[in-house]
Amino acid sequence: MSRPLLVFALLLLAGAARAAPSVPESALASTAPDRGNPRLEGRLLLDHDAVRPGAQFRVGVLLSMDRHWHVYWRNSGQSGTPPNLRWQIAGAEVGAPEWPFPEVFRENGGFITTYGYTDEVLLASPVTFASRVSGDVEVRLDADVLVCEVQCIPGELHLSRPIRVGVADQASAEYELFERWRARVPRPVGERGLELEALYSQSAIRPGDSFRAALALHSCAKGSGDAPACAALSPATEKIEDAFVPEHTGGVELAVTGARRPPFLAGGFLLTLSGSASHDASAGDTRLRGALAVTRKGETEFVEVDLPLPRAAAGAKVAALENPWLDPDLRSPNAPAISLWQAVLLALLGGVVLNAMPCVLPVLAIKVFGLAELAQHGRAEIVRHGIAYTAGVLASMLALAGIVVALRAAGTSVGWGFQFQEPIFVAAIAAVLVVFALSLFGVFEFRLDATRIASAGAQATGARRSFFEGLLAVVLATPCTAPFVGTAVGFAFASSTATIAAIFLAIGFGLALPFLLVCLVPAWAKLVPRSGPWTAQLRAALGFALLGTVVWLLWILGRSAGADSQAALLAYLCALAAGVWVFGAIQRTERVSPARIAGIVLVVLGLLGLRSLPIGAPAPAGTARPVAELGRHFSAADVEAARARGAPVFVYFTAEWCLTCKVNEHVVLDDARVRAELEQRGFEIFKGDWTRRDEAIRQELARFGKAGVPLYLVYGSSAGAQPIVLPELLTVDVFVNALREAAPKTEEKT
Amino acid sequence: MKRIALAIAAAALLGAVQSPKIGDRVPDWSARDENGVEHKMSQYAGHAVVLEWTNPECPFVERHYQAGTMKQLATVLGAKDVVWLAVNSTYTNTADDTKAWKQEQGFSYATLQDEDGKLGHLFGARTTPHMFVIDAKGVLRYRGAIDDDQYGRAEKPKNYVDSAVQALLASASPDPSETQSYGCSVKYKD
Repeated sequence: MSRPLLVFALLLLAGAARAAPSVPESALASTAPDRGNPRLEGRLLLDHDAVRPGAQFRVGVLLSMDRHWHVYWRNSGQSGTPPNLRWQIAGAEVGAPEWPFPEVFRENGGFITTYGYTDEVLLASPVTFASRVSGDVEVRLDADVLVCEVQCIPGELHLSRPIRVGVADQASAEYELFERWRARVPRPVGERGLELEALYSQSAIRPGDSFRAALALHSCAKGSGDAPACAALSPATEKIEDAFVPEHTGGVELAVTGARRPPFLAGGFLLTLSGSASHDASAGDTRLRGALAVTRKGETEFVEVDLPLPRAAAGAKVAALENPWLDPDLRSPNAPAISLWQAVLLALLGGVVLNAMPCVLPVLAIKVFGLAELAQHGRAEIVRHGIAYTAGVLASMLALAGIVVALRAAGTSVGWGFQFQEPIFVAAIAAVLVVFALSLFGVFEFRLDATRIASAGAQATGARRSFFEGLLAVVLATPCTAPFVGTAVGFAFASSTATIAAIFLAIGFGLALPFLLVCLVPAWAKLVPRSGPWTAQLRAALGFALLGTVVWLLWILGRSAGADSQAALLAYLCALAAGVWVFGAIQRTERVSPARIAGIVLVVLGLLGLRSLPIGAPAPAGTARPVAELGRHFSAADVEAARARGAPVFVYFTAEWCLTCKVNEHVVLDDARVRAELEQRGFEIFKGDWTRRDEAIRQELARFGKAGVPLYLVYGSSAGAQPIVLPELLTVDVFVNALREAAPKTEEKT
Repeated sequence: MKRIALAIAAAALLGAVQSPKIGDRVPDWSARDENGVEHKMSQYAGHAVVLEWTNPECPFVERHYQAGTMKQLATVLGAKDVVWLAVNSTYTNTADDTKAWKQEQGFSYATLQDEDGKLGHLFGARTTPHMFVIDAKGVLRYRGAIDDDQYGRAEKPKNYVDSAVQALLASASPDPSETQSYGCSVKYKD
């Protein structure tokens, strides 16, 4: 007898702790008997004892379940049924129930997912009496409520109690309870000062399609881009996949697959979804609906999701909208520690791949053939060089990370390769390359200690030079982006200072790795050919390759800052070369102090000269651009206007220092077939030039998950459709097909 | 957390690959009924097949058996050469349980014994009842609820399975071909 007694006492205690309000007998019932034991109790609650006609008040049913038993949300999920509430109040209009944010239940490892409530839930509805009503009115509720543990038991509730309709409003003792539950009811995003957007993997969803989607949530007003004003948001549930509960509307089933934090959401986050549409045709576009639980500054908020879901008929042509942010990322934005390793790994891989990009290749070639000269000096020397080179790469990556952090702290957002937007930087790199080339030509040596130069003889390269070459490799690497680097850098830019440093160091280590391995693995070092007279000639040849890079830099500067700046830089480089030549001559006299003094003077004069270069002022648009340009200057408003006119639109983002962009433009955008297609289909073209820093362009890039250029967008003529995002490496065929898809001619329409 | 997410992603992926969608050919399966007789998809080529996920312990199933929904429809469609098979994927169910239930309810169609849940996972059955209609060529043509009356309150519920099979017999496409099924979750073995 003692055990049932104990259970009874516990139940009493549980009941007391829950403190359900006492209500008239007619407003309380228990139902869903499980072998005689009711699993569900229902109470009809009113937030007012008395109301005026025309004033809104709330009626509700408080459902109290036994431990482990649950009832369902308005979408029960893959099994169950939602509570079915039928209110009857004479002379009153009853609104739809307000559903608090539910829990997610997963059976069989997620094979059956349902949404509902354990313990208790208050389902409230707004009510307004018509003006003619007065006196006591009976509020009635008939409800079907399915309650499940493992087994399910359908319950039925028939509850009623009176409310006084009169001249004054009087809140009831239950008012507070209504308010407590209201706090859990999702509100429209606008009310919460949040921005919510949906991205889809295709321009419209056809019957039977499986697709990917993403919900992007942030707290910044559109277009403000003022990063510090955006609060950091996180999914509020312990498991990310429980933070969004979808409704089953328009025959579309949705499931959360992951979450990520793209930099362009400025503290917001993105939930990736997988969706499948039923095989049946839908009448027009449907909505993506559901509820989202978000944490902002330690407070949990619930927001309604109600976004357009474009639909199309079976067999209709739809455009694939590739967007890297649609892919589920299994790391948790609540626990970046897990994700960091993936990002670091990507960064490392990307760094290795960077070695093969045209930007870095010359430096790497110099290094490897430098080894040939070293080969006779034994392993210790070679290893020392490998480590020095690696240190140089890492130091410069760390410096780059520092600059990114500092700029971010100052409120400036930057992208990968941002330094090439600064003319003074381009000039400095050109200067460094010229000096470096002169050293390869043998005009001077990277040593101030002339006596040691004499004795060292063939040992022309020192560890210091390896370090310097490491710096150079990094500086030259940035205008090239390699696979993986973009993702890793995008991740880094949105993360903490430590993460940025870690990612940049990982890219650096990847960049240094091939050369380091050649130095460290004896078998590999042996593969490098023995040095001979040919190495001096090869050094000279590579010197000319570096001068070629200088030509490219001059061209960038000419395009971005004008011919005058270009001429100024050329003059400076000439003076610098002369200075270096004088230094070399003094060096060859083998007198230490004059050489040292000459070296210091040269460096000081060189830096002063660089600082006073008249290249900062951007040239007025047009003067430096004699070539016919494709497209008008990008502005988001102009693009909107063009689309509002019903015109198909092509937008491309480029920069003079972006080699990939230039190749695409030359090979594809200048192609006659492409030009003809663009013209015949009436495309309006916009060019976003990111050669110099431009906040509007950075934001537009970020909107598509990019930290840099290129980006190609093709908008069809139908309003509201998502653009086709073209791959970074364009081909004429891919481009023309995208144009045809976006803007079919009448005879092509299906 | 990561493992759960991975499992979900994997399940979503596998689910997408494995469960036939509307218009997909149903892979050949075989299962034994309560009398140990083997049934195969291939043996029913040329017949429309209705699969009904069932569990006598589920109140939704009980309600439909009390109302005679399944039994009557199986009889009507049986006269038109349509095969009706029940499937019980409840992990605690035994052949003897099924025989007792069959006797109590007086229906004649076989109930496939799927206590390991293989057939249920193959079709993506999630509720009892959950209905699947396969055409004479072995293509899945309907999946979802038995009718539009999840609360059992409609006077004349629309029976989706009936309308789907009638459409097939008239060489038309079922509309709707997919609905959200309601009921108890299938009690699969973990």
